[in-house]
Amino acid sequence: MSGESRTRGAAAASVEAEVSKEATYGSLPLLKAERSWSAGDFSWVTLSLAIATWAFLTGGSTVLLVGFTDGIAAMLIGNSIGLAIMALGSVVLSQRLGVEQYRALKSVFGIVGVGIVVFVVVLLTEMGWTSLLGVMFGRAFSEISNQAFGTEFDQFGPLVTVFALAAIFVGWIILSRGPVTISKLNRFVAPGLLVVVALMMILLMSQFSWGELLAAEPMAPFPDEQLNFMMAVEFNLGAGLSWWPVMGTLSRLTRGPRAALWPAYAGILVGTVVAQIVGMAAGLLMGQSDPTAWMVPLGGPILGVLTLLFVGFANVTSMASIAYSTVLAVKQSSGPVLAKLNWPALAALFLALPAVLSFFPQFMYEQFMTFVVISGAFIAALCGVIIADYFILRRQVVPLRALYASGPSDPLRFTGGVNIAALVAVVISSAFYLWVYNPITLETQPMFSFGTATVPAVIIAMVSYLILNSLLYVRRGRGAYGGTDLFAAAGRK
Amino acid sequence: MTEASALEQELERRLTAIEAEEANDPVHAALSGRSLGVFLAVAAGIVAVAIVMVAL
Repeated sequence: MSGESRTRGAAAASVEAEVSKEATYGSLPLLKAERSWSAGDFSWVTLSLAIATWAFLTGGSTVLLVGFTDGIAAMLIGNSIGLAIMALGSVVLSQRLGVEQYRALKSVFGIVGVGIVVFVVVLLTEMGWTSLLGVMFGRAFSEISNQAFGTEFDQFGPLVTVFALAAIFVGWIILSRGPVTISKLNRFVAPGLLVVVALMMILLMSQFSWGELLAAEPMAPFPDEQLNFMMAVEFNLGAGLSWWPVMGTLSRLTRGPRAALWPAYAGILVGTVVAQIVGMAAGLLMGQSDPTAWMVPLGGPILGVLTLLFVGFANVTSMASIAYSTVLAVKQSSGPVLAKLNWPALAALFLALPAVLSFFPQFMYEQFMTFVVISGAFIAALCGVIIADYFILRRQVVPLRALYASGPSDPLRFTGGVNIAALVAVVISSAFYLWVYNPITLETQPMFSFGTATVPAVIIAMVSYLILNSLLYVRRGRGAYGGTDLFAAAGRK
Repeated sequence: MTEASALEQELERRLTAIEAEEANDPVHAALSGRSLGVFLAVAAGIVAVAIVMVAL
């Protein structure tokens, strides 16, 4: 073979490799052979995502308001409702089509509308979670340094930022290697975390009795007990909903609707319950939910440091997992400018944002509850609109080719690429949520004490969307509603 | 072949393969009403158990 033909061959191989990468990293629909996750595989992924150290923080924040038993109830109610809404608003659509979540959501919001959703809601939400994981990693390694070398680094000091930046860098390396590497790491991390969480609970309960745990008072409650409980429920609802930005894209790798739906709900729920219980117990008994603060004093230097090392590593794999879907979303929604960047460069660009936030570790910790609830307000509205569109208006029939069409002949063009009805419904619903429960001023309306803010907000999103969309698009024959089902012969499962 | 045209070809190949070979494959099955009902019932059941737990 001549040098010239070898060069041409290498160039062609490079293009082929790029196409192959795009199929993994991009918006191309996956073929059946590429959809390799069974329900068991996906369960391990969701379980390992849920048993990250953020669950300790969520548990600890819950017991600021309520005691142990009420905390478990609030956790179950909030997560069960939040995860059910989240799963129906993300995994079913992407799984059926085998298409990345934000490409699939073109059928709901329009191609420009998806961009607005991604850059206004998704990017900010995931940036917050990613930086939080980095800060927790930083706190873990500061504590290890304090224990191993007798240093006295502050738990919100500069070293936390340095380690957080290191975690983000390692997360970028994992992320650059793609979803297969993330999946392989999760198979190792998830069972390990289960062991670590069990170990933490054993250590805690070796120092305290169950009676002490059950009798422990909430850490910082308000005078109204019912309001405390509902705020704890709402916070857990927000935590359950917060999985929405990543779950659809992950679920497209599964082999059937039930293999996607149940792990997205049950895997997260089980993992959250297990880890949050430890966070709640630690918060009530030790006054600190974050294991970085109590693991070494409780477990001793060797066991404590080893556990913190593992937890720190698990933070990084969680970071890579949530960043994977977010970077995909950004890639699909950013037009030709960012689309030209290769995967590692785009991943670096996204991770630069949480890197900036990691310079403010104390702010991230102190505003954690507010952040979760506000992001939950927007995600609840998004899910309401998606559920109404996919299950009620489209009856699960989305035109696959139209997801990739562009220009004036695009059946999913809506109004200049924006489904105005969807975005207006999201605004109405989110505003209603924040009127019922304002997480900044903590003002609430009477309905909040028995009905939460999320549930009525989802209903309002659905109703307002159905009315507006019917008026603007369905009645006018726009938006490709009522088409034939390409996959009708595939049946229902 | 440019990268963009290769991607377009790959997209068309995939869409054609899905339409021709996977249209009746259970991987593309819709969620049945029964599965949806069971799912919602389990989620509601967990909420009910938690409410009873608080009430006791």
